[in-house]
Amino acid sequence: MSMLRSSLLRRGEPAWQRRLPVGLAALAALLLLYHLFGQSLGEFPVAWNLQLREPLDAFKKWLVGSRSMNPLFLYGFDPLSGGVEWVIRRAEEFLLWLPWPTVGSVLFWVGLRVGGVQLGLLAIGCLGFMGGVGLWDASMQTLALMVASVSIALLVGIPLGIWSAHSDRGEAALRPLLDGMQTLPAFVYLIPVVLFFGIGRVPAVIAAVIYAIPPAVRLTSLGLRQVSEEVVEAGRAFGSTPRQLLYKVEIPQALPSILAGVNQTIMMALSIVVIAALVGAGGLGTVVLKSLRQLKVGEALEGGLAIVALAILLDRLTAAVRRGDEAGRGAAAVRRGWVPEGAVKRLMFGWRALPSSVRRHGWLWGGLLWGSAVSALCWALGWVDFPKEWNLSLAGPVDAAVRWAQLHLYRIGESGFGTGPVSDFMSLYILAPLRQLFAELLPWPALVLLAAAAGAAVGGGWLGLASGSSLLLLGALGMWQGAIDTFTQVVVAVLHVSVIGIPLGIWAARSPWVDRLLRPLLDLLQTIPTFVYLVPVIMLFNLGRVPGVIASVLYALPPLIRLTRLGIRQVDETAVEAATAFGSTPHQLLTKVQLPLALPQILLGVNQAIMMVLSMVVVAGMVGAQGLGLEVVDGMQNNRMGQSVEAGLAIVVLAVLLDRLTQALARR
Amino acid sequence: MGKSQIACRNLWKIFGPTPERVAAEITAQRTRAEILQTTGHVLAVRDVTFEVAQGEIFVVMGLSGSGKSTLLRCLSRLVEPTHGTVLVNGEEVTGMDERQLRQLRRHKMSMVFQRFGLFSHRRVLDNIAYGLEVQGMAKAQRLARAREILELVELTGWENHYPHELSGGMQQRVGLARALAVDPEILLCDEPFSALDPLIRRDMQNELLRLQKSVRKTIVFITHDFLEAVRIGDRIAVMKDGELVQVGTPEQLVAHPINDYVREFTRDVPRVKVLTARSVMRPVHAKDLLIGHAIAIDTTLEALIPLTVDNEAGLAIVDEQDDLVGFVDRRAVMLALAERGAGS
Amino acid sequence: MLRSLRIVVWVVGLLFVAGCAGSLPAAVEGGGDEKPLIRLIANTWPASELNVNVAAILLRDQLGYPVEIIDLDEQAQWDALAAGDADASLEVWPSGHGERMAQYIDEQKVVENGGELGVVGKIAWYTPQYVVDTNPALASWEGLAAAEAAGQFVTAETGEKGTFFAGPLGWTQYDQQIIDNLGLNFQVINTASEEALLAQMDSKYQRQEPVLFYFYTPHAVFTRYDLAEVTLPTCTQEEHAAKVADGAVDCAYPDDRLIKIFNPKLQQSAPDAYALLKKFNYTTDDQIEMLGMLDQGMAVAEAAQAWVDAHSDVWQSWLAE
Repeated sequence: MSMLRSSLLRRGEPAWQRRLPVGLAALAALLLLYHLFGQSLGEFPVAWNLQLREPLDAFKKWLVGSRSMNPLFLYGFDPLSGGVEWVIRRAEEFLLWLPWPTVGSVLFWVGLRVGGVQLGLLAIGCLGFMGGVGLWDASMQTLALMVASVSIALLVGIPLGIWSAHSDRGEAALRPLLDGMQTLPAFVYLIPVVLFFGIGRVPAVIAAVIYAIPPAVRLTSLGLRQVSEEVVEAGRAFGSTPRQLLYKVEIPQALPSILAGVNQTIMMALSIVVIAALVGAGGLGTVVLKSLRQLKVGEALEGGLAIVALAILLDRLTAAVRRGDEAGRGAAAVRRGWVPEGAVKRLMFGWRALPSSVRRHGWLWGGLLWGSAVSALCWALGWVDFPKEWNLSLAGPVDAAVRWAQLHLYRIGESGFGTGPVSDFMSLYILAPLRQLFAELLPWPALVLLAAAAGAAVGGGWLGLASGSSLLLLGALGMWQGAIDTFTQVVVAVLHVSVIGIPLGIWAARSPWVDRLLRPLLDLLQTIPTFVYLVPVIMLFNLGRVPGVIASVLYALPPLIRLTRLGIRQVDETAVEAATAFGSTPHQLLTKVQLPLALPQILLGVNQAIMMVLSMVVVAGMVGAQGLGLEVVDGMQNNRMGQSVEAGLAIVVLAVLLDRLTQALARR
Repeated sequence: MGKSQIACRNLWKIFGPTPERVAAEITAQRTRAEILQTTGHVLAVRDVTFEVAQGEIFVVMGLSGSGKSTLLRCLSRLVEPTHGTVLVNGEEVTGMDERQLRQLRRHKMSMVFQRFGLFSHRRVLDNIAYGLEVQGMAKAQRLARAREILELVELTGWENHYPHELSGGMQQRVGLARALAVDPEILLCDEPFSALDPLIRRDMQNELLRLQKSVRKTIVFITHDFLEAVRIGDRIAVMKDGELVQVGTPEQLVAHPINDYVREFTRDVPRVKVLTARSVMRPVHAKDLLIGHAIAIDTTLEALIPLTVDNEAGLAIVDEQDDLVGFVDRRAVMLALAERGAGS
Repeated sequence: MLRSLRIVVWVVGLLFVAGCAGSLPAAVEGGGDEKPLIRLIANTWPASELNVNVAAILLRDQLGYPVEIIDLDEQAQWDALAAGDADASLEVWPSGHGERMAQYIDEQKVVENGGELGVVGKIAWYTPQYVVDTNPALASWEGLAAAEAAGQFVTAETGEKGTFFAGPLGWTQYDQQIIDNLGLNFQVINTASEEALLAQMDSKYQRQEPVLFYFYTPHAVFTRYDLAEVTLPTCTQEEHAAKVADGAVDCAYPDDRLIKIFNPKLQQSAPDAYALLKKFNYTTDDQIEMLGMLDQGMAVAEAAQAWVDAHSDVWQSWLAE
């Protein structure tokens, strides 16, 4: 029905809508000529500033002054955060009180249950790595923090997702909020959060929760909306109450998607670990920050890899639950069951006499029993702390490797090639001229019109209007220059990501061998905290805009490669067969059939890459790139919250704008 | 025919933003296409009235988009009718509140779906027990009941499998079993066999008829396949553009199609299986030679033909009370086979 | 599965409520004569951790306080102290926190200036020793002013001018003024963070290339890099202040006398701990001694303990009434 209407509209699309982008662009060109040969159009008018800064700073000052007397804090926020802090601390203490083999064997048990022996061994391997690099305690702290953050994020996110699945208005209301939560850099709200909730685990949890809720909401909503209409109807036809329908039909049907959301939520929460260390959350983040402060790249990498190990552990476990759930709908999985069930049943003799709840949760009780037995044994033998002798220090070799790279890759022989010259070239001949084009050559009204034209061209009049207004908003936030700087860096980074990522994705799609090789590398790039490789990147590429761009490229590559590969793999086999039947060469097949058909997926990958690059803006600011990131960092360092917030909002505006533009482009 | 179990009076369903207002403007002259063009509303069900008797299989036959599925959903208010009344056992369904409606759906009516509508996350047994579960029946009890039904649909041994492991025909047996498990008076079937292969479809039709012999439900059956309608329906309603074109027994439709639209469907019907003596006989004339034994009025042509071959003069037809009601000769049978039966 | 989940939720919920109740102010004050927990802030650099560990050992062993050390960002610590979430931070570089000192300490009085740490920070211009070895003239500003000097320090970003790597924007820095007023052909590049500044320096150092940058002592990296200070014209503290006011700085940085900052309620809640922290004062050499121990592979707590064991003469005076 709605399809029918939209096709009617398309046919009736007035001519002015099609000519709008051209007209706007022509107007922009006129302005440019006027700017160049007539009068200069000058800077973005100061008078249009929204004046957010002063009230925000004043609010913060008031908060600082009245914080320790205000009853709202004394009897509201303080006990609340005290409660959360207390729970997390007990969890940390509990994990540290357990002998390390207990943690290992229980996670092995869980791995065995959800995914088989291989997963159990992987869990042990990950934990062994954390212990091996001497970070057992910090890892357990971070694990406790993750469990708390993820639980809270899910407790809030899943009900919100259910609401937004059942209410179109709810979804429309949540969408901008979720966009903002995902793109507003954590640095912007980290310090204000401290004012409300104190230091320690709580502000860290809040930062993680803010960042991790969106995927939980989105994937829950998506999953519920995708439940077959007929199945829901069947539920209603048998007289289910709305509650029965939700719990017995909709949620179980949407479970794969909801579990994918859980998985994403965990990954998002983990990406906050390092930042959480800034506000006293402890754990692996502190290890990374301290090592970096002293330029100990190897130690920082150990901390970073421990985070990766934790990510792999949690990711594989949740992914296995998800797959288990899907496969669980098959008899094979049911019949296979889990290997040791029979053995445990025999151990707990009189199985049938046990209450049914115990029987049903056999694996849970078995796990507890198994954990307790291992603990008792370990306490008896005194195996509580991870043995220090089992040390697999990576720091030495890594530091040596970085040294070598610094000496030998910066300028390779007399070739005039190497990371140094590349960096200089990029800085002088790509970034600087591009920035000049946007910041100096083009007057600001022309840019606003160009943005509107681009919006109108890809998505019609409304998107054009929204794009133009977004640019005006950037100016009104007082962030015109910063936004332009950041925009140039995004453009350059995304170009690099595309040039590297799309061919790699194609290659991975065509060669299983390359695919297998790339996969762990992409996992690593996506989960290792960026901070860890920033220092080596600076060492190789010099300060300025280039290291930020490179860090962004590394961070944004994985989704583009993955989506390109997926897009090509998903091309309909009959289309490929048909093309082959007509005698296409492999090259023709690729360029004439596979690539065009995979284009929507690839564009989605580019969209993802843009979002990832934007999430690195603050990090880029920390390594010397001008732009919005620097404004955020500078505001944070100098007690100017207003400035940080303005810059943060500008990042959100830029992100949403680029997101909508590329999505509209992908839809066409 | 027994007593009326479902009555549907002047039922309307209009889809769109302001169906009430559009309903007021509709006049008999405006076609569905015109209404869509001018108001943007889709007229799915248009002034439909019919009754279904207890134990009857009532088939609604129509092409896709004719509004038949919407009509079916209006009966249990899965789709809210815009206008009109639906009565079940004399109770007004259209006036029920949520709770009453739920009770109706839980105990009186259940439904079988085109694409089976099975819960892929539940085992076969739990699928069948779903209706009982939402009623609040204890687990042991409802599983025992589900097992009984499973046996009835000949799926014993599959209780612990998941739906996607079953073939299409088996899945629909589960759908049927799920509907029967709550022991409803009324079974609503929304094109239950159209997603199946022709041979399986034939099996399932037989299965339904076999089950019906033992369970005697009131069945409203939707199909787009006229042959299927003829095979299983006690009565058939032909639907077009939201309206009922003709309602009658298969024989009435085949023998006396009301217009060319209906006639077109009857073309492929094996007339020898549908037509009976009732529609080919003519009144008895004085000169007719009433020799040999009389033939029952509901004898199909299939059985009649060999008899007329042996009886050159013709056959006397008697009704249920053994009264002489008509006469059939070779000529009448031939004409009926050539689509120009007694009625035309 | 759902039922066990429900049990877990209940247990956590009860724990949470217990935790909430425990952190109500009334409950805390009813604790009797048990000594309150002293929460010390350690920033992410080693010297800060060492100070705090020394203080923690003394508070614990000499005064019997329970102590917790919190790793915290140096910006976030101001709000933590103001809100009463922590009690003291012992190494604050005034040059890096000008705006916050003015607001939190002087204007709003929500953070207390705990006096000097005793360690004197020295901000200066540095260049690697190998640069000075090849051209001794570069050890002073006159050498840098020579016509061909700046050319050695050129990078892509600054074109024909020499590059001067400064610290993050938030730090008090007069490098651009000094360069302009001394007529040097250099351009300042801000480095956004200390890590970035060090990484850039390290990069040049490993390749033995010339580099000129802003840095400060005492700092742990001096044990790993052989760096030479570039002498600038000297001026007194007063002269410097006057030049800052005029925007005409052309001489070396004044000493940065590191301070301690406290939660203003500490004096009331733990008077003797407050007194100890207030008197806590030692020299740059004491810090450097411990930094040396760290370099030999000692843990921070071990180094602090070793220093406490060896220097009772220093810390005894902090305990005296």
